[in-house]
Amino acid sequence: VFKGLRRNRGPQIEGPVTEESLRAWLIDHLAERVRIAPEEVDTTKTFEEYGLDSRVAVQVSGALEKVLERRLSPALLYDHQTIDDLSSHLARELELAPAAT
Amino acid sequence: VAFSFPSAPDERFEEFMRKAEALEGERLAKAIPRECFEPRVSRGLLGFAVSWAVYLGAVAGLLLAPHWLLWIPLWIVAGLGGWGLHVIAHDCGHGSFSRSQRFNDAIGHVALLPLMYPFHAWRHVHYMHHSHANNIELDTDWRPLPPDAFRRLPLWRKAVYGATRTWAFWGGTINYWLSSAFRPSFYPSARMRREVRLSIAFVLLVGVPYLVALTWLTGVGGLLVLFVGPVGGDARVVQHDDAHAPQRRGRAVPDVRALDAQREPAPRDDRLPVPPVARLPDARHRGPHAPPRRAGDPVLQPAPRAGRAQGGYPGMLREQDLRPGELWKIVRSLHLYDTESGFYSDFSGKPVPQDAKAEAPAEKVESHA
Repeated sequence: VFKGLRRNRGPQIEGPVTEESLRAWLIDHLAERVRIAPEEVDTTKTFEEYGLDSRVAVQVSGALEKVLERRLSPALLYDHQTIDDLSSHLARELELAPAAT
Repeated sequence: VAFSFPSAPDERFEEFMRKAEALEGERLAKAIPRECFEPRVSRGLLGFAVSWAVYLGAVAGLLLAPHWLLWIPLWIVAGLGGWGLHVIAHDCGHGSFSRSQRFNDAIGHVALLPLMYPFHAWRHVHYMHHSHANNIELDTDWRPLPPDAFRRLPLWRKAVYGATRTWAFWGGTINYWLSSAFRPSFYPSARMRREVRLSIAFVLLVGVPYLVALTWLTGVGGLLVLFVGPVGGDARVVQHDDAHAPQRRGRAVPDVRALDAQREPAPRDDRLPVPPVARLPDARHRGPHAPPRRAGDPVLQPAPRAGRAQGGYPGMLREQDLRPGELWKIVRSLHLYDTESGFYSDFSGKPVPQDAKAEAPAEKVESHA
């Protein structure tokens, strides 16, 4: 019942959320999950290829909720299966500033 | 693999969605007369006092009852008092109890004490429900599972799901409390979590001494009879659907930026302080035929009778008090989400048939106790 009563100290995005900062957050988060260096993350590779199972996919969606401060579909990582796809989708939906090209 | 539900929607589903899309951009509150949004504080306070009196009177009766056979009716009476208080808290949550948000918050906190439910936790989870009603992924109140997902549940969760959709439908609120009442992490925004923590602190500050004193004076048996029993009596049906309202997948990122717009006054509940015995508030509080809302629209609530008088949304707005026959239909067959049709199936996977009555214009099926 009291699970989660303590303050959530998880990683947050400093300043306004943009597509770029969201993408960076996803890279860091995935790197931490699969225990590799952020620079090794390939943003075109699917989450499944990184070994994320359905439970973890829902957890990532839950962590994203806290970053974006809104409810998100738990199936988000199934609908958008790479970091590039997911970050551009979220940026479009949330009208975030686009990533620098 | 990405999925899309329903996979084979029939004409009923398509018709519903056509009607819903025709309402895009409409402010549903326009169908409700302006005077319904005017709070009547004295009436609300009377309802608050009557409900507390019913609750406390029943608890006193439990304390003095000469025989345990009297406990059950007294639990039900106490539960009805708690029920009335829940309706008050609901009005407070939607800003229709008074024009003062602080006063609404104060009354709401006190009204939910018999349930030991932190008011802001309830308020935010309730807003989430209104923002995602009938969304099979995000509705916090009622989310039927597809058969495959149900089969994959661990045994315990399968048992809870099965029970709360059938014989233990009244226990759904306990499950609701467990999942959201004392879990700030359940809420997506930092501000929500801060408010929820404040409410938790209030409940602990008042509730813990009360429960400790109760246990000290009457023992564990007294705690069960005088607190847990009335909570059980207050359990209500958390069910906002009937067989004819399709469930759907929403956008993967629903627009919930306007969650707090639900602080806007909603139509007040004019049936307070009617003795709560005749009322099943949650069961009627949102018409099952109400269309998917645009975020930011004020919550559509108990004044649809008035809305009808203004010709509001025929076929899409329906208010109906819960009757035993309806309740039986719900527990008998509205169990799982039929991924093909977008409507319900029972536990055997059989789609729930639609009857002619629900296809009739809404005005013909509405009824009130």
